[in-house]
Parts: sequence; C-alpha cells; structure tokens
Amino acid sequence: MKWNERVRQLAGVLVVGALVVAPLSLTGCWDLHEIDEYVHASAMALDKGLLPGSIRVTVIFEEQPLQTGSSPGTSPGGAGSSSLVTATAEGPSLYVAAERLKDVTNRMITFSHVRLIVLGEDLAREGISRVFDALSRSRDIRRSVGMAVADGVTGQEVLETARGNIEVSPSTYLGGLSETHQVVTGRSINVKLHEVDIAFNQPGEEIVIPLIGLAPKPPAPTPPGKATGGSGGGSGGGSGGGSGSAGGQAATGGGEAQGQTVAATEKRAAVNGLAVFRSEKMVAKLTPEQTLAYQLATGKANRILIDFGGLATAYAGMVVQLDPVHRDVRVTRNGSQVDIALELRLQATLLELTSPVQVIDPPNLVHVRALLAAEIERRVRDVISLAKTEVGGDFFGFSIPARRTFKTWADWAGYDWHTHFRAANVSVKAVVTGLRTGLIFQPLGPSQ
Amino acid sequence: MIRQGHIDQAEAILVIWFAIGAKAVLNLPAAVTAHALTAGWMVVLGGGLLSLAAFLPGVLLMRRFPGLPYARAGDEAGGLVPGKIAGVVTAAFLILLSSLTLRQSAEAFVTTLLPTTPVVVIILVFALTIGYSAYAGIEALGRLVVFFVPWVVAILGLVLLGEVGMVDLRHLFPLWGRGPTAVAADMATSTSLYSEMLLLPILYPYLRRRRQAVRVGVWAILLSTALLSVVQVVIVGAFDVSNTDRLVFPLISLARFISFGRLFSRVEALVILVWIFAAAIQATALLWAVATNLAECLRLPDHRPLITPLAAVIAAAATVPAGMREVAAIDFEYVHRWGAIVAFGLPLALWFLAMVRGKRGPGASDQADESGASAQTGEGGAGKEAR
Repeated sequence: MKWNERVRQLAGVLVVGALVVAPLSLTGCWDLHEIDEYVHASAMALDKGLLPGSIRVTVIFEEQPLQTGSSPGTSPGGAGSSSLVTATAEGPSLYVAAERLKDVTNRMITFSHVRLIVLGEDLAREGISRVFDALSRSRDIRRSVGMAVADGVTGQEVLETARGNIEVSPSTYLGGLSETHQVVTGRSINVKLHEVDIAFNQPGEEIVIPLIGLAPKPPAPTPPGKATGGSGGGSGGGSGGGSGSAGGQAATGGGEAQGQTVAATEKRAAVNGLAVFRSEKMVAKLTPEQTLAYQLATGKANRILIDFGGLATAYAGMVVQLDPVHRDVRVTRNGSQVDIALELRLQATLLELTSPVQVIDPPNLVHVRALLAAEIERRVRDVISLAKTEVGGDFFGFSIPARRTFKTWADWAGYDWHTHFRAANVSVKAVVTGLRTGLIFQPLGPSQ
Repeated sequence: MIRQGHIDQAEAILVIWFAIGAKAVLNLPAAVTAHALTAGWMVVLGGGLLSLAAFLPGVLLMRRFPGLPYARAGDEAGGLVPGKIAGVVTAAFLILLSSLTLRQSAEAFVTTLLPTTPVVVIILVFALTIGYSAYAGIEALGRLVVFFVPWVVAILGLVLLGEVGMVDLRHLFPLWGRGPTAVAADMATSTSLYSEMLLLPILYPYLRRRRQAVRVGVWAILLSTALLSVVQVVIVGAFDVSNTDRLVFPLISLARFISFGRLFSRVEALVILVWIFAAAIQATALLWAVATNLAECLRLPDHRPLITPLAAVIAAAATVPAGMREVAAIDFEYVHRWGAIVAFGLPLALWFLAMVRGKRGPGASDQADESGASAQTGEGGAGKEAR
C-alpha cells in the first residue's frame, strides 16, 4: 500500500471515529431524565444529626438562575449569573439523608460535580465508617473529590458561611484551599477520597485529612472610586454570590456593592492543620507547624516555608523556603524490634531576614544550615512522638516501606504494625543544602 | 470446510488479543488480586508465559489435518464419538465464555452509565450487535478490529498513563502474595485466563498463511500478557490490595480519576464508549467461533443459520446469574480457573490421540501447509478427502 493511501485510510479512521464520538455532545437527556430535572451539588458536608445515630447532609448548589428560586425549602442567593443554594436533610444513613434532600430541592440531585466533602468534627470523632461505605460505593461521587474536617464547627457551618473574596464558587474556594497551601506553604495537604479510602481499608495505615476552620472575614478592599454603587452581581459579587440555607439563615452578600461591611454570617475559611484518625475515629489534630513536619516525614511536601531563629542567626528571625530534594525511608526488622531511618535532603532559599544582623557570611552559613537541619529534625521527631503517644499509630505511611521486609501478605497482615511502630526506634536525619539568598546578599539596614 | 474468506496474520493476532484482553476492563484485575494479592501481576504474567507452550498442541493438531476445521480434525483425531463430544464441549465452553462476557459488559454499562436501564435491555442490544457482526463474517471482523485498534490503544494508554502519579509500586509488596508455592500453582491455573486462545485452532483454516499460526499465537499471547500484567500492576499500584479486591470494575474506577483541567472531567464516558466496542468485538469473535465450530461439528454447509439461535442462547444464558457477584464468581472460580482444560487440554488430548492412533490428514507433513486461501478453493484438497 502506498504511503498516501495509508494516510487516506488513517484519515478515514479518524473521521469515522470522531463522528462516533461527536453525538456524545448532543445528548438531550441522561439515563431517561431530562438535564433540567437535575441539580448539581458542588460541595457536601456530613455531620452528626440531631437524632441519635442520624446523619445530617448539607449540600451546596451553584445553579443558573433558571434553576433556582422556585423550589420549596431552599432560598436563592444573590442575583448574579449564578446563585448559591444550600439544602440540608437528616436521615439514619447517608443515603437516606441524601434522598431526603430531594424533598427540599424537588429535583434529581447529582453528586458527580462535588469538589469537596467536609466532615463535621463531631462525626469525625465518633467514626466515619457509617458514611464511608456510601461514599466509596457511589458511582456518582468521584474518588478524586477533596476531603476536609471542619475544625471545631460543623461541616454545615463551613459550607454555609465560608466565602472567599475572589472565588465566586465556595466549592472552588474551599476545595482549592488545601491544595494551594500544600503547593505554596506546606501548611496543609490536599487529601482525596481515594487516599482516605486506601488508608481506611489498608492494614498499617491511618487517615489524615486537612482541617478547615472558620475565621472572621475582613471586609473586601474598596477599589478607588467605587465606594458606593455598582451591582457586583455580574460575577456574584465580591463576597461570593451570596448564600441561603434551608435552615433559614439570611441570604447575604450576593449582589451587594463591594466595600460594604461583610455580613456577620459570612466568614473566611482557615487552614488549621490536619485531623489525624486512628482506625475510623479522629483522635488528634496537628497544628499547621506540625503539618510542615508531617509533610517532610511523609514525602508529601512540595515546598514548605519555615521561620526560625537562634544562636547561628544571632536570634534574628529568618523565613526560609525548603524544597525537598530527596527523602529516603529505611525500615529494618530485627526480631520484634523495628528500626526506621528517615533521611531528608532539602534545598533552602532565604526569603526574609527580619534583622539587619549579618548572618549569611560564608563562614556562618554552615552553622545556619546546621541550625536549620536541627530545627527540622526536632520538628519531625516531635510529630513522630505525637504519633506514638497521642495517636498510637503510624500515620506517616512508614508501613509501605515496611511491607518490603515481609515475604507474604499473610505475614504482613498478621503483623501488628502500629504496636511495633510505637516501640520502634526512629532516627531522623536532615541535611540542608544551599541557602540561596535571593537578589541581595546583605541584609538591608539604615547604616547600609 | 465452510468457506468464509480469510484474515491475515495481524488481523488474527488482534482478534485474539481483543478476545483475551477485553476482560482487563471487567472484574478480572479485582478477582486476580482477591486471589493472588500482591502477586497478581506475577500470576498473570506466569500464566501467559505458560500459555505460550500450552497453545502449541492445538496448532500441531491442525497441522496434522491440513485443510480441516478444528471440529473435524477432532473427529479424525479421536474418532467420531470422542470427536463429537470434544466439539460439543468446545461449543458449550465458548457459549459460556460469550455469555459471561456479555453479562459483565452489560453490567459495566449499567453500573457506570445507565443505572436505571434494565440489564436485559443492554444484553439484547449487545446480542443483536454481535449477531449482526458475526453474521458479517471473519473478514469483516478482522477489518473491524484493525479499525478499532488505534482507538482502544489510545484509550488504554490514557487510562493507564493518565494518572500515573497515583501508582505507587511499593503497593506490590510483600512480593510473594500468598507465598511462592501458591504463586506457582496460581500461574498454572491462570493459563485459563488465556482460554480464548481456543479461537486459534478454529481460526486456523481461515488464516491467509497457515504457517504463521504459531507466530499469531505467540504474538497474541505476548500482547495479552503484557496488557493484563500492566493493568494488574497499575491497578494494585493505584488502589492497593485491600481496595482493589473490593472494586467491581477497577479499570473503570481508575478511568474516573482522569480529567483534563476542570473542563473535561468525565473522561470515563469516552473510555466506556470505546471499550464497549472492544467488548462487542470480543463477544463477536466468540460467537463467530462457536457458530463455525458447531456448524463444522454438525457438518452443516453454512454456519450463519446458527448465529441467531446461538446469539439468543448466549443472551439467555447471560441473564441467568442473579447479579454481578454471581457472574464474577462463576467467571473466576470456575471458567478462569479451569477453562484451560477445555482451551488447552482438549486440543492436547486430541493431538495425543491422533499421534497414538497414527491419524494424519492427507497431504499432512511436518511442514505447515502454505496457504489457507488455496485450500479453500472450491471443496478441494485435503478437506474434501477427509470428508
């Protein structure tokens, strides 16, 4: 066959294939239902219900105006291009509660666009196995959906009140918060349902989920010349398009002009570290500082910011960015004794030196690096110590390299890893290399 | 021999590859993991390598009776009664394989895309599709396979590599799963995963160049082994053992992770769409094989009148299990554990009987007959002699 004939044949294959795929975009209904019979939940909160043993489900819908406002039990948000509606229902199980949401939406609810699931702290401490089967089993909920635990409040409160100033969509705002912090500061991690599912079922692993709290929201800055007026509704307003809840809370924000005082019900989300589980129950919290150490220990760290000071810095505060270069975990077993050796190699970059004291002279750099390494080792050891005492189990994933030391699955499954982890010798060695100084060598000072 | 045209080497390889490999999208990775744990990939790989030897007696049997189809070669090799029994057993086995494939494919479609659509509706649509496709014949099937290969490979590549960051190879430890002895035993039984190699002796008379039969078998097994092993590694790497064995369709679950930004986030619909065609090709190949083999066994002049009733039988059999759980149990506990007895053991037994009884078709030699096309010209040659 000639070359041009092959090309024509291939083009035919591609054209016919494209025609086969094209009708996918022309569908008018889905599984015997018209598209406008659906509403799409974008975030979900799960809390303990008022009745013993019941589950409360709260969902947030970000619907087009045509689809909002008429359903009983819901209240539409601001008059923007999209409106926010929350709905809440309770039931003896997650599925039953979710079904009851239909009573207040009068629509088929799909969860396939949910970006974040927020677990109330009370529910998390009581145990999440009651809700987890439905989450894992659902064909609707994607396993890539983000997870969070509401810190000190209910998940419902987080969904109903946390609003960003830039992100119109609360699900985008809340769902992206942990991810942003993991990438930029290291003060939180982005955890997906899939990862929780694995830790939930896998022997020797524990669940870790980011904590999201609520904090007072500063008013949005007023752009010059726009102190009054303006609808702000075209994009849902600076405060996120408004919110309303089936519970009767006042709708806020929405189409109001920027620069006005933020309503009391509207807050910002706060990244408060991590919730650590033992088996299915939340048992401890890690502060954002401990989260940094956790990320270094687990290898999840993308980039962390650390501020520290000491003798080597003449007690001047330094803010340093650490980029992990290498992480190695070696687990050895000697009889019943387990030794875990964690080695970290990090590249440092100086971001800020809050004193005019000169501490980055070449002779002193080695001491600064050593101090930094010692600080990291201390923090990591502290968080591992917390795991051994307060949590009572390994939530760092050291069990994964430990599995290499076993020959068969039965040997591993029969080995009580958490007990051995608690008694394990854990050594932490950090090596800090470099210390890039940015665009200036010397600290700024009045005399210079 | 029923005249049906011919397919060339590449088409034959791909038909068998589709027939074996399409189940990678079904429950197979989960079932293998549930049984072999972390050593699932070794079991699949070992089973494939053993199958490289196991399929050879089928080809040797067909070479002993050049120009004869598989069913009639069985008659010649074992005698009329054992030959007929072998033909009926082969047909029953292929019907079982087809119906299990049909049911699992329909369940996958219903579970992931159309949950309120009765599974019977999907089965009937499938049955009509594969019936029509099988009626079109082996040449049409060969071209259809060639058409779909780029799409299926692209989609498989997308699924297996699209979320490669999720795959943690440390999940494959402890390396030996249930232990070295159990792994060795599982490798032997997992040759049943390649039971669709039974297509090769049935396809043999329709190969354009029959001397390429060994090459077809080797390539089909190597490609299938590579596919099933890689799928096993990726699935366990992504989901770990304790989660993989709970999944009904692991590869589809993996596909649900794939998104291109936030705009294209339901890529699995495309995956399932393309895979549905792959499953249809698999079922078509099996239906064509059972119709052809049964027609030859019954000495009918044409296999096509059997296609409609056989499609109906396959569809009816597919509705017998109460649910996916039962289908998976039948599939893995019986068919994909002991299927090698029919797929590889039966040809071996027939070949052995032929040797013991000194049976050999006219014109047979140790050299493979050169061309299937020439042997089918009219009712000529060895086929007519043997009849």
